Amino acid sequence: MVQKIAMTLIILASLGLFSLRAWQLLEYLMLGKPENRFDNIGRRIARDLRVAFGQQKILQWSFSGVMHVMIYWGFLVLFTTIVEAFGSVYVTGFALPFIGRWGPLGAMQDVFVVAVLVGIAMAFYIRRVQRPGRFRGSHLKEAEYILFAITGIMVTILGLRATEISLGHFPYPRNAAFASNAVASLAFDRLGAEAGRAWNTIFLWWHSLIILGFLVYLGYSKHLHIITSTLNVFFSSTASRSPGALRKLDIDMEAMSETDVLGAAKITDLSWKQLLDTYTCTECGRCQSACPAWNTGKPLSPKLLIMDLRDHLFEQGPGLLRAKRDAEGPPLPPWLPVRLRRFIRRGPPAKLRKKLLEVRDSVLGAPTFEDKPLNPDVIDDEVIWSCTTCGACVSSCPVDIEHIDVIMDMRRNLVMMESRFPKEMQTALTNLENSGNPWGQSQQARLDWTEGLDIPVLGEDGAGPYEVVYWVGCAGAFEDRNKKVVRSFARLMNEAGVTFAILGGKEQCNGDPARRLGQEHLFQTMAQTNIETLDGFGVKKVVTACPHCFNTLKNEYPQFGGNYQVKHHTEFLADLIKEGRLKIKRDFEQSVAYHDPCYMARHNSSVKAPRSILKSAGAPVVEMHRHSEKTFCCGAGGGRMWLEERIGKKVNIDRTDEALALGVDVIGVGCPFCHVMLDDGVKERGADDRASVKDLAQILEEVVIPDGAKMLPLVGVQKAP
Amino acid sequence: MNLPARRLDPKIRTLWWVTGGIFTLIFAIAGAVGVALDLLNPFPRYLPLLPAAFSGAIAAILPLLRYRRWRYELRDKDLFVSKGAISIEITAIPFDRMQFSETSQGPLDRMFALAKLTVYTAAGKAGTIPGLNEHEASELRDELSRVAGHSSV
Repeated sequence: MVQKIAMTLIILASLGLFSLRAWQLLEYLMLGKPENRFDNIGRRIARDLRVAFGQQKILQWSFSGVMHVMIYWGFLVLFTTIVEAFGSVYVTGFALPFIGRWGPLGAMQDVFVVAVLVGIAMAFYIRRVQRPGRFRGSHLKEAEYILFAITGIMVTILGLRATEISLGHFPYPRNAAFASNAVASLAFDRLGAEAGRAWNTIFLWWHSLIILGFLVYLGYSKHLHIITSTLNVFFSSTASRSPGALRKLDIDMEAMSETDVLGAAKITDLSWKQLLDTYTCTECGRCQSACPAWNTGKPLSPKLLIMDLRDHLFEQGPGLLRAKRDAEGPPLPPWLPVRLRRFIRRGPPAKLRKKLLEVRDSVLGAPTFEDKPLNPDVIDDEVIWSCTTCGACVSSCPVDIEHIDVIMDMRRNLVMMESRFPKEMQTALTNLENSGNPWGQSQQARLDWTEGLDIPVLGEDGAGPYEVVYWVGCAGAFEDRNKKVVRSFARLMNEAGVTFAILGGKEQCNGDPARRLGQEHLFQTMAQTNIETLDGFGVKKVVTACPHCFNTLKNEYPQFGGNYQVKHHTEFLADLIKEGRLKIKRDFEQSVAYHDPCYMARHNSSVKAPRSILKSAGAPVVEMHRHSEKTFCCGAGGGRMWLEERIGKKVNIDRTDEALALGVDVIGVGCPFCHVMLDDGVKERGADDRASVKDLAQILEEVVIPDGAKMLPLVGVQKAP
Repeated sequence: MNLPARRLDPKIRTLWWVTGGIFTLIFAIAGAVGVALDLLNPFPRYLPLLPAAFSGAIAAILPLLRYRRWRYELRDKDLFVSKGAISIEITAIPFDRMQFSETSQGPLDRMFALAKLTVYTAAGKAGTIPGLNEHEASELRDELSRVAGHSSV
């Protein structure tokens, strides 16, 4: 009886402490801005089943993935033993209703007790023996306390079950629970009933106390993810937008007041989901180890960024919450009489109220609360500008944290509110604004690359209709290396008999550099202009040789009402080969390593097309160590093409070294920026005599039009009468 | 179980409710100050009202339980009393141990015309019966005074 009462009190106290912390965390979460994440419920549930229950993303890393799966599924199954243990405090020989005496469940429980123990051994092996760099900056002690606690829970459950078997009130057939049975036969069967009962009590109490202690500790540790990760995956943006699309920022310049803020200046400017991200971070460091900035010695680690924001929230939370709650007064339920509500809301006279609050603060101590800006006080500006938006962090995060969104919100604030950014960025932004392209060239020069080729321009010769509109992109139009690429692609389309036209001088930069450099306002203007142009010609199908144009046109223009069927040239060419419209005349004999562009492989899950092209071309392909969805950025994404790289090793050099180490003749690319970056890298390494950088269109041109005919003018474009 | 036959005056429940209500009100006022000044920030704003809620719940239920259990009876040789809301206490006070008995009335008792009867033995207070109506209390006191010290009525 005393035991039952004591246990009941401890359970209630633990649940109470846990609920108080949960409430506190919820209040901090509500400090964030509102954002609707309750759309597409079906897809959200499906994603939860895959990513949370199915452990899809954590299994991208096999050893630590398997380790986690064993512990995670273990705890799902062992939830039953936890209920049984607490039940047996009150009822000797307690069994779960319906399934509680079913042998297979008893066996499963034992299987997972062993699996969890193996998982813990693996975790210790990773943390103590392998010591991967991804843990730099993580709370290692905290993780080990938790592992010890789990070990304790497993050992005591095994002891508890074994003593129950020996005492004869184990609810399952004893042979089913092989591990517990073995422990019982070895240790407890030969003890008398009295000793058995004593051991049973000891195990039961230790088991319960560790679990309850664990419950209370949860809310204060990175292990909070066992509660928040399922929610975080559920609310992740991937259910409602493509991973490549940034969040649309609603800007209404006319309606803006002095106090309105664009982007995130303070922690309270982040949305509640972004704050939930910070709760959910497990400090596993998968993002850190995948990050091109961190890997080349930049100050940005996506993990540390999220952790810093979390620590800042917890540090400022009490003060922010006090200020908010003092300003708002107690929330009044609507069922209270109107008069009473009015009376309470009026409260004491302002002077008395102020005095009262002062007395309170002097007695209780006012929480320190500095109205600090996120940049540079919490996150250094340099961290924000280091990001290439390659998405390696987001795609490797097992709990669907959205690092890029936070970085973009801070960039937007720095650019649009603070006007504080690397000075070379101004040139790019001015060029975009004045010339419609980041190179600052005249729009008339957009047709220079077509010299000698007869390519129809929409709206100029009244010809049409066309199968597809070719969105050339600024790099293709203005950058010398890429001019060759777009010529190759145009010739290939011509060879395949594709009727196409270009926009010529009416094409503007799609806006990706502006958007990713934080100039959302400029981006939205550019997007609207381009949508008007495209819609004006009734364009439906677009093909482009630039993944950034592709991503923006396909995934971001729908935010502004522009809906087109967009194809990247690798996908388009792969289809032409498959349809038999392009004939391969000879094999490409040089060995090729294909460098996947982030905006295709990761943000748009397109990895098959380039490989099928290379296969059709008969090229000997060597995969890079980091390839397909795990590709490593060239360093030019996120507008970094236009910024100087002052700190650490250059990202493009890192990637070039990786490719050159394979000893290939050609580094294949599918993106104009990757092309420039890697070509610069090869030259900087002095390797241009043994390796070259070629776009897949160039490689394909060599095997489809091998006889030097490529120098001939393009004449085959079929014009409709 | 053998229980005493007579019950208290039903008005005692109201008296108990009023007493409990006063305590609850004190907790509620303290709680309201806590809510108004947000003393438990960052924990739930209304948490300071929790003691008042507890007190209110107890004040509402306890009188019903207590009234059900409170019984007394003057038997041949003793005063037989049972009480207790959660654990039950049954007492028999033999007349031959009794020294004297008294009735008393607090201000609330007087408002409800109720009285409390206390029985003394050599060891001091032996038992108290609250919530008798004034008339019955004085009759009982006089009757006990008559039989006190005797082995039977």
